Amino acid sequence: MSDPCRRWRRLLSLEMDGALPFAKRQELFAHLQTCASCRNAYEAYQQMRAYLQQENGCGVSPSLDDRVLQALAQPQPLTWWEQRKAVIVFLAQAAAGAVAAAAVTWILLLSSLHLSRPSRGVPGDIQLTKSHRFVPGTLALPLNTSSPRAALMWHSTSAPEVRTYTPQ
Amino acid sequence: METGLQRWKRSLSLTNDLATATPEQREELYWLQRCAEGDERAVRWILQKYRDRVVRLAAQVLRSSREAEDIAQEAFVKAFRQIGQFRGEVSFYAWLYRIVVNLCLDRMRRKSTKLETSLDAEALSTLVAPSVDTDQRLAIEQIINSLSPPIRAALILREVEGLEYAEIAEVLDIPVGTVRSRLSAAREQFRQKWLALQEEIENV
Repeated sequence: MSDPCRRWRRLLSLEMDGALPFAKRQELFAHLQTCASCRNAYEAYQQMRAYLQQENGCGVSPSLDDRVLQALAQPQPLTWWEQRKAVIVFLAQAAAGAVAAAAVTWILLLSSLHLSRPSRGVPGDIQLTKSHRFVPGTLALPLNTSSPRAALMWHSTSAPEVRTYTPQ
Repeated sequence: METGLQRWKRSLSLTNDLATATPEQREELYWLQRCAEGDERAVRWILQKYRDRVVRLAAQVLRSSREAEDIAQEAFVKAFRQIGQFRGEVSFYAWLYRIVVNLCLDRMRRKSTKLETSLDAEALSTLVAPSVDTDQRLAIEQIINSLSPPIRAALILREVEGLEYAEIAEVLDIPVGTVRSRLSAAREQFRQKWLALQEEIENV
């Protein structure tokens, strides 16, 4: 069943808030003169307002100001995004560290292999013809030994060959 | 280590139009800017101006004075830390009240159970006027407690804080029409429950 006074109560609510236009107010007051139900509603609204508007200082603790200031001096807790960001940065740094460690290990491995190979000689050294690799500018002698004496004897009888490339 | 106050200084940029501001608003803006610069006196000024209203609002929305101070503290800390986000498009109290109401609604949502059915004794003693009949007072209180938090928040902002529709809309971040309908709904629900209680009392 529809409530005939529903509309009037809506207007009454607006009237309570001072938001009812003058013409509507006149209408509403005329209705209130004749309608007991709406007068009861008005009384209920007034009771509620009186209750809510009673002096209600909740006795704020004087230490509230200090507690707020202390809380402000504390480091700000991380937000959800900041927490996620911290995890992402940590993972990125860990990944970068792992890559760097792998690169260093690889370089060390390569250099240790390089050190274990026989010396190829430098320009001016005497190397054997049989030697599998020649450094351009070194003296290649057709001898079975690299002893300096043998080299001198050979030199006194033959012209040395200076290689400028490594034979394949 | 950087404090909250120092952080404000870094982040604040107020855009209020000082030419149109009232002397009171100018004074408030002055202190807000001082707050952002880490001035403790300014923080105390803001706290002194708003703490009673904030605690009262939280107590009324939560219907618990015990939790009201916790919420007030949380709201002030949040407001001061986020003061850089305050652009002056709405008044400071509307911005602060929005924080308070949102914190209250969040807390009630987290509880997700029925709200405390009454204010604690301490709050009751301060809320109650000696002239009002005790039974009636308790009945009104019960009815107000039974209203849903969003409806109650609108009602408290209107009846206790005396805010206009547009201001309530700003605080609750809802359209003005919704404010009107929430207030009407609050009063209608109150009326129905009030009548039911009156009938019960008459029948006893």
